[in-house]
Amino acid sequence: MITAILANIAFELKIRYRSMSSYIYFVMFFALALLMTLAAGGAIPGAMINFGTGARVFVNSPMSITFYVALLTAFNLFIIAPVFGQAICKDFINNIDQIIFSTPLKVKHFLIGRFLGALLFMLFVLSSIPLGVFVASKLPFVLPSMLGVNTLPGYLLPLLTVALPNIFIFGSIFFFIGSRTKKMAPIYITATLLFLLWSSSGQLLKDIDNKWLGTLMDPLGLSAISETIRYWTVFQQNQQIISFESYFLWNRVLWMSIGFVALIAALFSFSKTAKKAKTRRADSSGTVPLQARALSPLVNLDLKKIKWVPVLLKQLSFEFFQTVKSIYFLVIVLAGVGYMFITGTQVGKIFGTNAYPVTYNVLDFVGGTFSLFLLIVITLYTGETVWRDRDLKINQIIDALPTPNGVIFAAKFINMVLVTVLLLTAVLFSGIAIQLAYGYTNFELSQYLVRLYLVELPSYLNLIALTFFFQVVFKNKYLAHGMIVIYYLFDIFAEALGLEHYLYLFNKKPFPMYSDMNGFGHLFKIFHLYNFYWLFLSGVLIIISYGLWHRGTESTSFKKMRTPLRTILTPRLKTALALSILGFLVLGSYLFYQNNVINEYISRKETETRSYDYEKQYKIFDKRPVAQLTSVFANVDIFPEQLKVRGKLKIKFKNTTQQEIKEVLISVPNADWSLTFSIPTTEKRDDRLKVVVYTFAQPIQPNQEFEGDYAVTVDESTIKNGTNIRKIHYNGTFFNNFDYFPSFGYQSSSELGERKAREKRGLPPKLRKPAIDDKDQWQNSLLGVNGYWIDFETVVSTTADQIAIAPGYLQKEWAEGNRRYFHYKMDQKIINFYAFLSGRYEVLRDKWNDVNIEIYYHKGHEYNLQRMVNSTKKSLDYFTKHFGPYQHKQYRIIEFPRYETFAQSFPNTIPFSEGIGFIAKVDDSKEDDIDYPFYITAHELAHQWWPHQMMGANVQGADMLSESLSQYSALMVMEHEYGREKMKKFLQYELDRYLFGRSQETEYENPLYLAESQQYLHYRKGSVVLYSIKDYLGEDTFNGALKETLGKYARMAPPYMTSIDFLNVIKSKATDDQKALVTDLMEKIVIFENRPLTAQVTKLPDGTFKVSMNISSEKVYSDKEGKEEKREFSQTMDVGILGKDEKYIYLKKHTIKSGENKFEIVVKEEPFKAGVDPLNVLIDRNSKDNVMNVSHESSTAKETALQ
Amino acid sequence: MSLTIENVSKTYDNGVRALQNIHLQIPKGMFGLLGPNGAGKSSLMRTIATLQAPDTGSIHFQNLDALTQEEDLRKVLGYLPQEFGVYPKISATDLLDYIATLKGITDPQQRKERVLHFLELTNLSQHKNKSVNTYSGGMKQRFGIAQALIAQPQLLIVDEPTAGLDPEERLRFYNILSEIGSDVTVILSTHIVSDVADLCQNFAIINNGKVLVQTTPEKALKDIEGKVWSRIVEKQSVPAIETQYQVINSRFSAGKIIVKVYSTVAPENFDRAEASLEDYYFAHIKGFVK
Repeated sequence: MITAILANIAFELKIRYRSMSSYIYFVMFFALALLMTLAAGGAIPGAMINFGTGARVFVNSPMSITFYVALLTAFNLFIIAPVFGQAICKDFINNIDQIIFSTPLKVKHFLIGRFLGALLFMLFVLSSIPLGVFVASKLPFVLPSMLGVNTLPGYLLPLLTVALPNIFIFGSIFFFIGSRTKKMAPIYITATLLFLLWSSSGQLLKDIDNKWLGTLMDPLGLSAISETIRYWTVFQQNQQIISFESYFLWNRVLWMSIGFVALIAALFSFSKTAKKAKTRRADSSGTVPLQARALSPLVNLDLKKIKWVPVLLKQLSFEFFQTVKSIYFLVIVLAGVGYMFITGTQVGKIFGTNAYPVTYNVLDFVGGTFSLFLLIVITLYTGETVWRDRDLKINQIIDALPTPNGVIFAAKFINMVLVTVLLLTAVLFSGIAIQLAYGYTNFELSQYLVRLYLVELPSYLNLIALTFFFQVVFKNKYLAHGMIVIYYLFDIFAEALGLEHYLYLFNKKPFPMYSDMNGFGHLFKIFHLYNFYWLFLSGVLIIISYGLWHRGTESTSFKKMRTPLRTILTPRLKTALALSILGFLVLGSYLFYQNNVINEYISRKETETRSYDYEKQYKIFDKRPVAQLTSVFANVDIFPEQLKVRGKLKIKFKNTTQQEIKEVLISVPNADWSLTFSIPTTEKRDDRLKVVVYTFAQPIQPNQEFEGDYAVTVDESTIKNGTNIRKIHYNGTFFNNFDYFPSFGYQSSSELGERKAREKRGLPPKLRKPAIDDKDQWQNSLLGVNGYWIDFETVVSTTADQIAIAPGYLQKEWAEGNRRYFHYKMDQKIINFYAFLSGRYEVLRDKWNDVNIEIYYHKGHEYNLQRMVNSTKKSLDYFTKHFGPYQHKQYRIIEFPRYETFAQSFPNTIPFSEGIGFIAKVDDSKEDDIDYPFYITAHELAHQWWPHQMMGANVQGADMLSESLSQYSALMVMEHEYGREKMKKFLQYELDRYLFGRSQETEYENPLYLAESQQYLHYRKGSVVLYSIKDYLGEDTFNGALKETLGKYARMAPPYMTSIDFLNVIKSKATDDQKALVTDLMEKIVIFENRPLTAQVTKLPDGTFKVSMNISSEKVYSDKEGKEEKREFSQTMDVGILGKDEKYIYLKKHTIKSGENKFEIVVKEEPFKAGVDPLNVLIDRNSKDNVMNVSHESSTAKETALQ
Repeated sequence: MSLTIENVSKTYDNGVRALQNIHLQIPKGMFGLLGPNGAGKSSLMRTIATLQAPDTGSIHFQNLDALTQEEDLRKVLGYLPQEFGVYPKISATDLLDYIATLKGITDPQQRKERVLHFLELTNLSQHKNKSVNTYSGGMKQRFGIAQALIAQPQLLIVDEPTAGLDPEERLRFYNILSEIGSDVTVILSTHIVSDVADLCQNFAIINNGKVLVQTTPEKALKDIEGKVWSRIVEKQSVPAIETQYQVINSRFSAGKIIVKVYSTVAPENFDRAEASLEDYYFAHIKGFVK
């Protein structure tokens, strides 16, 4: 028995040993792992990427290796499929099944042997991944700070815990399918379905309520790993090895069980005979006469001149029918459509709340995820169509027919195009169905047509051409599939590996993003230049593939490849080839000219070099006195249809320092500009680094004032590789002063920031914000050296059909020629940060007291305007009542295209992206929906206080003062509008994003009060922490502290405040117990783990209920690397009991100690759930287990008694 | 001559010299290509059928150069390979219709007529709506000849068409072949001598990639006449005879063995035997006739 199994293992391995593809797979995955490691390890200049782990995680840490193995195994699915498929099907495919199975061999031995052989082989292939990482770690290129200790378990365990189970699971499933069908196609289909399951799980996981479903359905375990280690800190990621725990454990249990069942089913259900077609064998017995009856003579044929078009059509319909009629195709299409609908449930979700399924949203979500699926279909079916005649062994008949290669080739190629069109049409109908399901009927059919057939289809055409090319050149279906997988991996990772120029990345085009406001804008033209560039190349590939088209019976001869194409191609095709090459070259040259000649092509590596040079050459200007801007008058002309802007600035300066100023360093935009001063200067330009140094003939004395005139012409109509979406648009222009106007002084933000890049170039680590005790920086506001307070006035013009907006009050509006002018002026000083917008707007006007509320919106986007107005009013109510007066007399929200998805607070002027609120579909009846248009509006309005009134110094904690306070302010308005329970869901999102954010930390985590431009801190942790503090101190006390701080520190001149000032005010209002909590939350990194262990209800005789709870509580302190330490504590926390409909019938703070805590609480209403910190006020790694269903002691006791 | 093959040689990538200097002049009518398995018959057939190119030499059919005018040759070619598969779940009518279209019969009426005609001719009419992959070996072979004939070929190549057929099916197949007009050139490869004897006006014997002889059955019989001798012996004396004589074959008969030998002069103790085409064939294959 053992020998039989061993013989089959040996046989399987021998076949693989002899096959070229084995070595190709091994080498390719080795190389990929090596490159990924080098890229993540900072060895490749300009490459910036992490594969699943945080940026500071060692490239050779067990966790990193686990991710490489898991990720590359996902792509190995399409290699595991043929390996196991062939292991079980090859005897049938090669028709030697009857010989093999007539031997005394036991079927189970045969199967087990083949299975183990394939398993061993795949393990061998995947072992190339840890090997690649290991070799990379030994090369001298990886940065020392990215390298941990190499340990054997670190390399072996991922193979055993991730690779081996996956090979086993997939192998078993493929084996089962193979044992039933004896065919390869269904195995590939199964692989596709498994792949789709994985993608779907990723989609579902975007909603935090789907964690279990999402992680369980992923057959690869990749989502489960990601979720399991989602909150692991950098320290943990560097030190720990993932074991079978949490999501990962249950995922593996589920899928290993499926694997076992599949394998056992395969062993027992395997039959030795191939399944024949079900139709009864046609009977040829006796009744057939020997001699056919006399037939009437046929008309003579004339085949001298054959019309090939009808032949082509016939063959095409035949091929198409062969492709689509099969049950497998139906299965794969249904799976794809099903996948779209799963994805469809998540359309545009932000905070778990849907957006209106406007067509672009549906296409982005549905079409985007469908593309991977189409890639698989194209890869598989191109292989089928190319090899069909040969696989079915009818090629000798077909190849001897007079049909020219051109007709055969064209039929097969067009067939694949038709299949693609069919599937894209399925996307169209699914998209419309999804829109209908949401009750949305503005289908925008033209957008569907353009996107699917003019944008997507050409990409697939290129892909089909490439697949044909691979199939023809490699002459091996499975090898060609493998090559497509490798191409696809290359496509994904090329940019990360520092290959950026679109001109050499096959099929790469700048995506023409659609915006309701701007349509496809100018992007459509640029897209098509690239599009045709690649289509011409595909033309070349197609003609070469045609030239090398395999006809006849010589299977192994590469002779034809050695024959020059010119002898194969007809003159007409030679012309076509020449034209394709010409078109490719002409467009390529034009695009090169645009990218590299008109524009300066700056690779990421070059960008790094320039930042480095800037720091090296100009650091001497840091901390030198800079003349302050005191006033700006801007004449700005926007030409949307030409994508141009002309600006003229009159700037007033003053030396507010006590020192002389001899020279000034100025950063200038990449445009035509000029700058002159009212006093004599000499100018030294550095065009490469875009800076100028002006030396004043006479040094500027303290308090001396002078003026400058700046003029600039910006042309954004040129083509720039990946950044064609810039600031000026046909409709919806939005830019700020730092985009096109000069910045004065040394800009530390222009230094090389990324840690690995700095290390690679030998620069010392850089603080993301200056240290909180850096007193020099207290002189600078949040905006750094540019943060002056200025008088601001502007005249801005645009085309007649658009409205132009800038901060300030409208003084006058007039028309001149076909242009419209707007004169805005501020009545008080503003910080030197202002924006200009222009678009075709509708305007909604409202009023709160004497404040004008205006919303400039795109026609059709009326959905949430009332929510925004309501939020504005409620916020103004709350903020003026609790913090202090609103400093302006207007509040304007201006919509801009969704190329960027943020809202930004300029003085009384809020540009607000169409992508984050204008099309939100908030369903107030849904418990989980979060009214984020309301929330964002409130947040931006809060910025008018923080920092526009209370400006922080440009040091650590500055972002906390502006963003965390705005988050808190908005939360409070929300709480008053929607109730406290509604906040829970929102805070869960914030908590999740904080905990995940720290796992992705690129440097180190700070306590909140020292936040250094760390978004997961100043937004996410800020929300949770300030809400906690409010919860403990009480709303009035905490708001009182804010009001006091504002009163003390609201100012328009240095020195500015720091977060310590704010903390001091808070602490002065707090009890000792509360002070300790504030210290924990603000000045330390603390994480709780609170949960009820039991909650039992006893009905008391008087009709009340006694709830007995046992609560477990833990608190850990984390250092900045994420190393944790558990500490004893005692602190008050909410204990809550929920009644019917999730209503709180009890919510009160109790003192809780570390460890277990027992309580008895009597309530009047019937309790359903109970728990500790039920509202997620504290930072808790598992916020979902804070509440549990109560158990009924009395009834269970009764039941026991009855038994 | 209808088909002229000159100096055709072919060596495969694995080193097998499949065809060596083949010269053949093939007239209209039925031509047999006789040889044992692995002789190079199929290689030669595939070469004539434009499925593979020879390393050297030329092939002309009428005034067509088969190596450069492949497409024109295919227009007048009907080819039945030794083995072939079919598309699954396609009926005989549909498949024949498809192949007829690919042959260039684009007129639907004409095509339909021909499809029905050849299905009738090959006795498949009653199974025409069944999928070809459910056919028995004989039916499939008849379908094969239907597809080869459908576009009125002037050159018909059938490779081992009767291999694996029972005698009755073989007879049916002969009947169909015999329907073909005499102005068509038919090349039939086989290792069964009686196929040639029954059907062919001309034939050639091929072995190890070389043509041994090209002749007609009558001439062949005449040539071998008087050169075949037989003797009944005990089993144990066969080896001795084999070293002494040019043994064409030996077969059992009533417990004894009849040995046939080739000799231009009468050998001792042998009787003159009636010579058959088979004797002629073996005499050539075994190299007795130079």
